[in-house]
Amino acid sequence: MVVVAVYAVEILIAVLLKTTVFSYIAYGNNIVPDLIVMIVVAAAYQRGKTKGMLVGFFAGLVLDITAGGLLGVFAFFYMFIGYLNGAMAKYYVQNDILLPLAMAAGSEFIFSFLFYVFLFLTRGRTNIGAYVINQMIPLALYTALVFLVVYRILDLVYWKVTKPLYTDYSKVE
Amino acid sequence: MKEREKPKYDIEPRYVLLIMTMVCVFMIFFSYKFDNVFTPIRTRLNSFVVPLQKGITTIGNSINNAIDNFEEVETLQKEIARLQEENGRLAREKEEIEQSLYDFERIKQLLSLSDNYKDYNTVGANIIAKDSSGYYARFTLDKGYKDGIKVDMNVLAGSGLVGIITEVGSNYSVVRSVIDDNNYVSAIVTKTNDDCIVCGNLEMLSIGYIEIRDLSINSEAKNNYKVYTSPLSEKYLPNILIGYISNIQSENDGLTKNGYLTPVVDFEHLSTVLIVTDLKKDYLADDEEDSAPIH
Repeated sequence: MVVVAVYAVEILIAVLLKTTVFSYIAYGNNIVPDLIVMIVVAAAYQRGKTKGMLVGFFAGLVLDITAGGLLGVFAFFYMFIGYLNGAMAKYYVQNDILLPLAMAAGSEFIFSFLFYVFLFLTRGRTNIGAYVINQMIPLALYTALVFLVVYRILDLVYWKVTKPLYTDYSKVE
Repeated sequence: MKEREKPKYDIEPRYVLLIMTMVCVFMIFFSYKFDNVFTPIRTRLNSFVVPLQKGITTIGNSINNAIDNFEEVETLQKEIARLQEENGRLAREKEEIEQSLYDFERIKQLLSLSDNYKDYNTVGANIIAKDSSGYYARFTLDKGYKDGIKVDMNVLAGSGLVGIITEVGSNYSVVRSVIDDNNYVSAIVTKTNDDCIVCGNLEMLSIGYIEIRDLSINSEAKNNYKVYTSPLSEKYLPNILIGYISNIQSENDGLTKNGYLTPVVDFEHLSTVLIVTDLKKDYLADDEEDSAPIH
């Protein structure tokens, strides 16, 4: 229950920040670091495929509801991101930043690529090069940059709040 | 704490993925097909989120203002906000006057007397949240149906068109702006009177333009000609300035021209807008009573 509440609060904070004050730190017109991807990547990396998927699904659903488009689009994308990143859970090491950093950048790229394919390419926007250069790469890099800071906080929350609830410390080396 | 138990229902992650993908597809289909099924749930949840967004935006704005105008006192800022709003109104009025002058010229030429221009009633609103994906260009306003806002109302800022309201809750409304990649406005070019379509285009947006297309191949439209909303549009009120033509070229098919349009509204620094409370469909109904519209 506490775990669910922690993730709910994280998602709520992320959505609120991302839709409001983050416009002050936007790069160009519309490149804003994606806090939701960060939470999903961290959750999947720490806790595996199924839980990463669940976190991604509900985070995406909240975004869907606030964004006012088709319901389920973001939910599907973030769920997929959670599933992919869950495969890396077996390499989880505390305080490792390089692997999750690469995962976050890759995930954001995959996310915006999926978004482009499903919502732009299907409407005949075929100039993929422009989207990669102007949209996907800046989004991925900016997200990775902010992830450096945010992941520290998320990992701290994981170790201080979430993990003690279900770990038997006698088995931790 | 005890050792973590193995869950009773241990399903392979790939099956969970499959099931939840189906749930998503189902939801996408249903929200596409039966939009109103989800609207009550959506408005209820949004009514919870919107006050929080409003609060954070207010705090963010005030911090931003504090940084920007370190030495300015609060009253001065209020005065500036009021003057900006007034300035926007005046600029809009100027556009209207210019447009009605142009209309007058044209009408004189046609020797027919049809007054295309009407005064629009407006309500001011603040932007409290922007869409976060980087792919849409939508935002949330702090006025909802309690303030008389309805779907399809036009939104202006200063002298130009911002967008159209697509969703209304009790205390908020969502605007899809003209720079959104999925937004199409039927428009008309001044001086040459060519019909065309203005649509958002994410590719062009990164260099500050939106797209203008379906101009007739014989069109003599040039750079800096103004583009207004067309009287033919079903949802947009006529004679609202959208932007200036920047570059026109012939399409490969040899039938139409397309090009770049510079929007007149500065979307990057938008914080307050005006909602026009007159709906086009009412306007059309009035028109039919008065006289048959001339196209």
